[in-house]
Amino acid sequence: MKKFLLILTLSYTTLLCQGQKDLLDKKVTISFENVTIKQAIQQLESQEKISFAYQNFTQLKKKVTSSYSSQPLRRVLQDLFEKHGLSFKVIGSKITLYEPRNSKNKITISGSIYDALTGEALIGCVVYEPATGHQITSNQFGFYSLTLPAGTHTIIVSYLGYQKYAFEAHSSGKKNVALNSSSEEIKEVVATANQGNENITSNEMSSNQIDVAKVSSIPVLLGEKDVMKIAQLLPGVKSSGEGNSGFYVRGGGVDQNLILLDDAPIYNASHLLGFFSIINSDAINHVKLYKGAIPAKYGGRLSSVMDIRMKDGNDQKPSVTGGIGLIASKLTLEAPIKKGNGSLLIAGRRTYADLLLNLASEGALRNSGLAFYDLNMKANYKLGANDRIFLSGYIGRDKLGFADIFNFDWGNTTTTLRWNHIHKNQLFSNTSLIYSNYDYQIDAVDEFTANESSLSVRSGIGDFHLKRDYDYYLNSKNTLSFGLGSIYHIFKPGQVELINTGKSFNEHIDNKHALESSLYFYHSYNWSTKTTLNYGLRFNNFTQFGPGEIFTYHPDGSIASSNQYSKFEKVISYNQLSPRLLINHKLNASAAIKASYARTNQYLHLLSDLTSSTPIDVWLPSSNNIKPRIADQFTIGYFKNLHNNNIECSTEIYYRSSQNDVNYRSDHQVILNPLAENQLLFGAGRAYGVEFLVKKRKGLLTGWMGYSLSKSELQFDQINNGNWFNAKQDRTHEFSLVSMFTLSKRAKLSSSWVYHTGNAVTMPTSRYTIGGIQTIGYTERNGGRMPAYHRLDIGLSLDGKNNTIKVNPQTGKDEIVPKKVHSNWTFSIYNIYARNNAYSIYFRPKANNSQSFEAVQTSLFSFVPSINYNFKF
Amino acid sequence: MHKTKYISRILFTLCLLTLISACERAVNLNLKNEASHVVVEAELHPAAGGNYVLLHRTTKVQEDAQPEAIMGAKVIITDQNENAFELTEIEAGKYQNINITPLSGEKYKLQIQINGESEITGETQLPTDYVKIDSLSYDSSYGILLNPAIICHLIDPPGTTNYYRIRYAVNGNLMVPTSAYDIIMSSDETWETENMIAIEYLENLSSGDLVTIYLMNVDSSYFNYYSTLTSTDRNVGGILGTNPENPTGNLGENVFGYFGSYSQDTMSIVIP
Repeated sequence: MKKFLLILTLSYTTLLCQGQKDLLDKKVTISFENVTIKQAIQQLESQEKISFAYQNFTQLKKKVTSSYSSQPLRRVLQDLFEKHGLSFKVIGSKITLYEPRNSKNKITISGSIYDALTGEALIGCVVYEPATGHQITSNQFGFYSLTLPAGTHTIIVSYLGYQKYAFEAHSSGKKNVALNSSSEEIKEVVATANQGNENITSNEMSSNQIDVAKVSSIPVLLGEKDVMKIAQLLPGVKSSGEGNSGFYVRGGGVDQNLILLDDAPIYNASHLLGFFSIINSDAINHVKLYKGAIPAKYGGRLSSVMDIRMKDGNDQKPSVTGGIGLIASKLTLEAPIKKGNGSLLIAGRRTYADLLLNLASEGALRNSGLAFYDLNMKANYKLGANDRIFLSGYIGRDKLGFADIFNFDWGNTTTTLRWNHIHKNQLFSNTSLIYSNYDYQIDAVDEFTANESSLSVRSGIGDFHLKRDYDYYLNSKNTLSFGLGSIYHIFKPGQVELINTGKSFNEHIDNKHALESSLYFYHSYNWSTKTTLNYGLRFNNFTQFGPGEIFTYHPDGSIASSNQYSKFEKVISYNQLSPRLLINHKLNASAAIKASYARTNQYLHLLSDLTSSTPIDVWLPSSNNIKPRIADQFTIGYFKNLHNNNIECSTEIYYRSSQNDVNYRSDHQVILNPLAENQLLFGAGRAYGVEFLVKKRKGLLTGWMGYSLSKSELQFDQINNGNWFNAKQDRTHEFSLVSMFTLSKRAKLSSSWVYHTGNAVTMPTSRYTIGGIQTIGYTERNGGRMPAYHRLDIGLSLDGKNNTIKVNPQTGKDEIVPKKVHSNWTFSIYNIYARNNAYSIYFRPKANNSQSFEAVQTSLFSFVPSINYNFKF
Repeated sequence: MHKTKYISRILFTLCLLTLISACERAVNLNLKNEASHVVVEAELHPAAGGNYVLLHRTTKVQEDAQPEAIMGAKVIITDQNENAFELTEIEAGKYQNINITPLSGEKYKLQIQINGESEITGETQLPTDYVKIDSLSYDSSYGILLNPAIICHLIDPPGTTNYYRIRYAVNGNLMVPTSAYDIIMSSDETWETENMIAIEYLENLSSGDLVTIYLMNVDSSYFNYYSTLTSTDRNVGGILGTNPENPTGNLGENVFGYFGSYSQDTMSIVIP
C-alpha cells in the first residue's frame, strides 16, 4: 500500500513537473504596449488560452512595455513578474502568482562610486530610489549598499558638481558608478534642480563638508590654498590667531580637535609657526568637519573631528598638477598602477626662500630662515572585486635656523595601511594600521667663544594604531557601524643635552606610555519616512603603563610620593562610556529639525607655557594625576532649503559643558619639566551659543554667510578667586561672508570678509610702584578684550585657454584642439584695506618718564598681495 | 651667480617684509575702570628702625596722575608674645616704629586700618637662620652665556628651606632695579650643591670698582612676592602671549603688596 502511494505521488509530481515544463516552454509571440501587468495577464489569457490565479497585488498596477517573438512563456513571465517582486508556479493547469515571503523579497545593490575621469572615490554621494524614498550615502571609501523591496527600481546617484547618474536594478548585485563632473556651473543648476537636499536628509548635524575644488578660489594668506583656513570661515570655528591654521571649535581649545589625515592623527597641523597648514590641498580628496554630534566611530578629542581624506590618485591616466607661488611651490604626480585597478599619488611642496639664501652664501644668511617641505604619498590597488588595499603616508618638516648657530626643526610623519573588504553586499569593513609621529629638535651652538658650548633638545609623541571598522547596511531601515581599535601612545616629553666647556649635562625626562582602546557601535534607524534615529555608544579604556618614575602630588603641587614602575606595569586605567544620539525629523523635503547629544573623552593634553600653541608644546597623557577630560554637548538645529535647494539655511543652538579641564599654576613651566604634572590645575568649562549659516550653492554667485553668537567660560578654584572667567577664545560675535563670482568661463572673482570680537585677555586695570619698580595691576583673568578683528581679502582666478586652434594637416582646415596643459593664475590681496589688527599687546612705561604706561600693539600682515601660477596636464 | 644673489636678496627681503611686516604702535585702549586698590609694601628686619610700611593707592594705567599716598592709617605690628607696636606716619604714606626689635624665627602680625575700609592683615616669620656670606669671587666669563659675574658663596643651612635676595652697591651707590627682571632671587629648593648665587649682567663695571653685596635671607612671603613680580609684565595675544598675573602677596585677595622679613649680611669686593 505504502509502495503504491509512493509511486502515485511520484507519478503525480512527475506529471505535474512535466505539465509545468510543457506549459512554460510553450513558445509565445506577444507584445505589451504600455499596459498594466494585470492587463498583460488578461492579454495572455485571451491570446494563449492559459489561465492565471492571483490576488489583487499592488504590483499589478505597474505598467510594462515589451514584445516577444517566439519566446518561451517562462521568459515572458519572468520579465513580467519577477522583476516586480512576484513569483509564479504552475498548479494544475493554472499559473498561480504569489509574493514570496522569505528574505528574497529584497534586493541589495552595492558598489563603489568614483569620478569617471580620475577614478577618485566620491565620499558622501547620495544614492536614492525616488519611488520608495530609500536613500543612503556613500562611505569614506565611496562604497554604498542600498537594500530595496524586490522589483525593478530606478536608482539615482547624485553628488554636487557631478552629473546625476541613473540606473535600473531588478536583482541583487554589484554596481560601480562612475560620475562625470558637470563642467559648467549653469548646467549644474539644471542637472541638480530636484536634488541637493542632503543637508536636510542626512543623519548629521553640526558638520561641514569642505569641497577642496570649490573653495580653491577663496583668497587666503600668501595665496596658498588651505582647507584649514577655509574651515575657519564657518560659524562656530574660530581662528587661533592672525594667519594661523590652529582653530577653536565651539569654545574648545586647539588641542581638542582631532585632525585625521587618512585616519592618522596629526599632532601639530602647522607649518611656518602656524601661517600655513600642513595640508597640501592638491593631495586632498575630501574634508569633513564635525563640530558636534560626532559619530561614535570617532573618539579621543573633546571638541571636533576634522577628517581629511587624501586623494587615491588618478587610476585612468597619468597626470601632473603643480603650482608656483611666492612662498612655496608644489607638484603632484598621479598615475595608474594598472588602469582602473590601482593608482599612485605623490604630492610635494616646498618653500624656497632658504634655497635662495644658500645661493647667496654670505656668512650668517647661509642656512638661515624659515622653511618647510611636505610630501604626501598614496598607493591603492584592487585585489579583486571585494578587496582593495591602500598605503598612504605623509612627511613634513619645518626648519627655522640662523646660520649654523641655531637650528630648530619640527614635523609630523604618518603612515596608514588600509584594507577594504566587502564581506557581503551589505557588509563593508576597513582594517587600518596607522603610525603617527610628531617631534621637534632644537640645536644651538655658541660658536663665538673659544669654549664651544652646545644645547640640544628633543621632544615628541608617537602612536601605533590598529583598528577595524564595519559598515553594515542591514536593510532599508537600519544601518549599523561598529568597530574596535587600540592606540599605543609613546610620549617623549623631552631630552636635553648641554655641552659646555667640555662638560656634558644630560637631562632625560622619562618617556610615558599608554594604551587607548575603544569599542563602538552606531545605529541609524529610519523610524518613519520623516524621522531618523541615530544612536551609538563608544567604550574607551585608557591605561597608563610603565616604565618610569611616577609621582603623586599634594594639592599645592609638592611631591607626595614617587614610585618606580616596570615595563608594561599598569599605573592607572580609566574606563569610560560616551553615548551619542542624533534625531532627524524632516518637516518636508526642504526643512528638518535635528537634535543631538554627544559625550566625548580626551586622554591627551597639550601643555604650553604660553597662551597659544607653538611647535614646542608638550603632549601628556591622562595619568594618576591628570584625569581624562569629559565634554557633553547638546545641540538643536533647524535646517531649511530655499529656491530648489540652491540656498541652504541653518541655525544651531548648542550647550557644552566640560570636566577636568586643564590650566596652569602661576609661573608654570611645563616644557622640559619632569614634574610638569604638578604645574597643572583642574577645573570645568562651559560654552554655549547660536550659529547661523546661509549658503548659496549654485549659480554665478556662490558662497556663504556665517554668524555665531557665543560664550565660552572656565572655572578653576585657584584662578580668579574661583569665579567663572572667559576662556581666551571667547568671542561674542563672529561673522564671515565668503563669495565667489563667476565673471566668465575663465575668470572668477572671490572675496571673504571676517569680523570677530577680540579674544578675551587679561588687561591691566591699574598701576603702582613697589620696591621701586613700576608695576601693573590686574583684577580679573581674561576680563579684558583685544580690539575687534576684521579683514577683507579678495582674489581673482584666471584660467588659461583650454583649447587651441590648429590646422589639420589632412584636411587643411582649422580645428579646435584641447590643450594638453591647463593653466591658471590666481591673484589675491590679504587684508586689502590694511586694517592693523592687534596680534599682541604689551604695556611699557611711557618714554617721557611720567610713570604711566602705554599700550603697544603689534600687527601682522596688512595688505599682502600674492600671485600663484598653477598648471595641470 | 651675481644675478641670483641679487634676486635672492630681493626675495628674502620680500619674505621678511611680509612675515615681519609686523608694525608696532602705541594705542590708547579703552580699559575697564575699576576702583583703585590699596598697595602695601611692608618689611621687617633685625636692625634699629628695621621696619617700614608704605601705603598708597593704585592709579589708572594710562594716566599720568601721581600715586596717592594713604595718610592717617592705623598700622600695628604685633609680635608672637602679643606685644603690639603702633607705627607712626613719618612721611606721607610711610609708617615706622623704631622700637620693634625683630628676632630670628619669630612671627609678626601686621594690621592696617584705613578709614572705613575692612582691615588688612598679614603675617611674616623671620628666617630662623642668619645666613652669612662666606666669600665673594669674580668670574669674567660665567655660565653658558659667559657673562662677567660676581659669585656670592654662602653656607646654606642644611635641612631648612632658605630664600635669598641679593642687592648690591657699586662704589657706595645702591643699585635699585628698575625692572622686575633685574631682581636677583634664589631659593635653595632648586639647588643641588651650589651654595652660591651669581650676580650676572655686570657689563658696566670697570676694574677697581668696589662692589658691596647684601645677602638677604628672606622669608617665603617676601620671596613669593618678588619672584612672581615679572608675571605682571607680559604680552597678551600672539604666539608669545601669556597670562599676566599679579604677584603672589600675603595680604588678602584685593590688596596688592606683601608683608615680608629678612636678615642681611654684607661683604665687598674690588673688581680685578
